[in-house]
Amino acid sequence: MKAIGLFLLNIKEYLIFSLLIVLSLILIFSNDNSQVRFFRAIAVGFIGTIQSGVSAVPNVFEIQKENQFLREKNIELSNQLSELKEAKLENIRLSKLLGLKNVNLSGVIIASIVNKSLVQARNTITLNVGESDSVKINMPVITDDGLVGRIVSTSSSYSIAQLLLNRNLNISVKVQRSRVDGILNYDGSEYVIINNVPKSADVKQGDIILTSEYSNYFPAGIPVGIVSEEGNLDNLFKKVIVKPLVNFTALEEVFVLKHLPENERLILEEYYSKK
Amino acid sequence: MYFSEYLKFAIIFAVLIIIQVSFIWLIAISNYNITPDLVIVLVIYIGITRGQIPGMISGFIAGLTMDLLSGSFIGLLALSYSVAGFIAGYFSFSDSSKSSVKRSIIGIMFLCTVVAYSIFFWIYYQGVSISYGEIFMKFVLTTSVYTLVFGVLLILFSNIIETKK
Repeated sequence: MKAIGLFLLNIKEYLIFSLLIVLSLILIFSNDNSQVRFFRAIAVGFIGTIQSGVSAVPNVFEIQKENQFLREKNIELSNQLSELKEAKLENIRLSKLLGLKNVNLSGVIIASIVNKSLVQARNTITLNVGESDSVKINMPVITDDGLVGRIVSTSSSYSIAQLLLNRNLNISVKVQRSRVDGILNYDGSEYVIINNVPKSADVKQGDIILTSEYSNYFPAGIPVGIVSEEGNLDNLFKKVIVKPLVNFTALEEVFVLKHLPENERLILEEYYSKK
Repeated sequence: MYFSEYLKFAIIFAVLIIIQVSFIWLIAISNYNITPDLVIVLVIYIGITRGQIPGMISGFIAGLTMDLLSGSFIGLLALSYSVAGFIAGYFSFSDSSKSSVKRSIIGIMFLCTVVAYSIFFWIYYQGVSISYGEIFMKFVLTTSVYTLVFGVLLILFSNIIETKK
């Protein structure tokens, strides 16, 4: 017995190492359970409070860049405003003719980014809205330019969203012009990619990519990006490189869409895949 | 390690994690957003100076905290940092070998980060159509070299403190 005890004592480093490896692997394979979500919510709340305090301190270089950007945007928006006024008048006239009701835009939560985080290519943003503002996990995040990402973690006053440039986010998309569909994800480079698109599929440089009806997490038709180039993957498939429409480096304010996956559909799909 | 030492390292870890999560993107380089990893530097430092067990455990806890804050894939950094702490602890110095370890500390640090990030990025980029060679060149090597710059600064800083003592 004493010999076994001595032996175990001699290899204690290896025992602890094995234990930690097993623990890590268990955690990796149980990423989506409620206990993990609970601890994550606490961590998000804590770091969100610190980050929102720090974000109140002005960054001179950022302000300079922001001013330049806002000046340019101001000119662009003034032009758009005059065009929109014209369009609005036309819209009112046509709506009256067709007897349409007003479109409901209440399903949107406006949020400011209190922090951007690059934890080894896992790009996320922290938003100043949380469960108390009706933000829930899996809600899409957008800007006026297009899709930003998806909420993955919430606390009462803050939430974390995975960006499009995140390996863990896969999105069902389609090409606006030819309706070719595929799965868009991030391979760690500057842009996002759609893999396994049949070689014969009609995809051209400059095509707009939208979220598709197949996506359970995102409403269909949200602009995602623009086809930058395409290359061969193998004899049958090609890879389409997509430049996101959203400029992630200048991102400051976003909208969280009050859109959640349909549970009935999720349950049915999960049930069928297990069969 | 004594309680005061645990407390000291816990505070340093907390500060480094906040910097890593909140500010490190300001010094990200290239289109691949390569950032240095300040937390792994401390894990390796603890491994080398305090031994394998403190290195592994501190690596696991720090990695898990970072995983919780990153919003995805819990357990992956915990695994990578534990391995880094284990390897660093293997080179842990006794007084007789202190000078030889100190001479090769940069090499040890590089080895630990390369192994830890090989595990991390290899698992993280599973299912993506990029080869391991590409992952190694684009992410593992660049992150390790960038991290090493900060590791060298830490060594210089600790040398200055030791000389003053």
